[in-house]
Amino acid sequence: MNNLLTMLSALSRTGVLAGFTFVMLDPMTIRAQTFSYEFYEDNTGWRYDNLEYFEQLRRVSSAFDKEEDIQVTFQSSPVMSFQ
Amino acid sequence: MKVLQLQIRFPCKQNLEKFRPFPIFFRPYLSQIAPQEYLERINRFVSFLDPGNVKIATAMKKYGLRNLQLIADKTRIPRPTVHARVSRLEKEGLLRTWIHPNYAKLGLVRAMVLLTTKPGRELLAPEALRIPGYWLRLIRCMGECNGYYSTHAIPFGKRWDFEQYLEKIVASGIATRYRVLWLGEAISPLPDFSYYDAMKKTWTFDWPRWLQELAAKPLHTQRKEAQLGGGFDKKDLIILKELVKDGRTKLTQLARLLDMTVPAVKYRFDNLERSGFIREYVIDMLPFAPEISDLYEMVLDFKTREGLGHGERVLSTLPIVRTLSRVEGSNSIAVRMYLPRPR
Repeated sequence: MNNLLTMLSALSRTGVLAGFTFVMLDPMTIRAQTFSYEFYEDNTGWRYDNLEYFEQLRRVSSAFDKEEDIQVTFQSSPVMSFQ
Repeated sequence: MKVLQLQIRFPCKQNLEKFRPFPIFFRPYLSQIAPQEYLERINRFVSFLDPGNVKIATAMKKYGLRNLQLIADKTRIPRPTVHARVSRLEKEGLLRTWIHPNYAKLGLVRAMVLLTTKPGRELLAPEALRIPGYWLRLIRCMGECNGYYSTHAIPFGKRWDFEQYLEKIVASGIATRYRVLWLGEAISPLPDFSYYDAMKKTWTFDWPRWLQELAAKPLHTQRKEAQLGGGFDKKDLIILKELVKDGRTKLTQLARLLDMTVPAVKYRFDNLERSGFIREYVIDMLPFAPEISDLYEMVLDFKTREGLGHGERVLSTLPIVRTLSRVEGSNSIAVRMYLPRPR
């Protein structure tokens, strides 16, 4: 990582890059799914309803607040796909 | 476990069906790995990166995933050997193949979200990100953003609504801030094995050369932009999503799934390929053992459009780059980097 940052820093100094940012990803926590084909209907196209999502968010958030004693789970061992 | 109970109690029905956690999540969580086991795993990983497998993977990237006879012809490796090697790599989980669909043609646009979670709300944040159902990846992240990195494929006309939803997550006290970048189509190059010595099983990281190439004066070339829209129906979407899961899904499997004949599925598949709905075949073969490597998502902001195009071309040849996506409305590019840790 140090060499990569050295390279990006040099590219910033020489004016190739205006800047760069990065985050480190934890491969142990990757969750993946395909695109949401089930929300598509041939006649109506893609369905997206923010009001419904706001309501779901409210319910999930409120249930989380009522949850007591949430168990801490530790993980290790890597996964084999990082894309 | 409470964590899982929480997910089960408030499922997004549509999501749960497609939820594909890696199998490792269902195994007992390990808190210790013996040094011998650790080294054996690294050795096992490295042993698969031999000249034959490298040749096959490179040919599959070039000629497609499905026709192993063609791969055998091009590599001059007997077909049974190609078949046995591909099967073994897949079985060991060292080779995965899938497609990048052309999201723009499907009327979707990808978003990358960095959500800085409020301390204590880390378990709730991924559930909140999953609610609209259009998510693709959810990963815990650290660095510029401490919280969650996620990607989504959102209907074109609903970008503003999605940003509103992210605002709502912040307003609900789950996160303190978010950053959203709208992305172009992704490119996932195969690691450039010209940097790999298959006999010695070592990679050469030529940092001075890469720096020189990236700093070189860009050529004036134009990139073809994706076309909007296109004719497709739900059955096409089902074929595409199966190929996103496994690029080598057999036509007979698709025919069974869609209750159609194999020739009818083949007609649709050929049409999807010809019309550009299948944008890229991805060969997912890690160049370095996961036990000794780290994963990063970087956003590189280039000074000029030409610099961006040039940078994209050079970056796509580096063995440390997994995926690249241009950021819309800027000269930036999001790059997934995979790097071995220094010894």
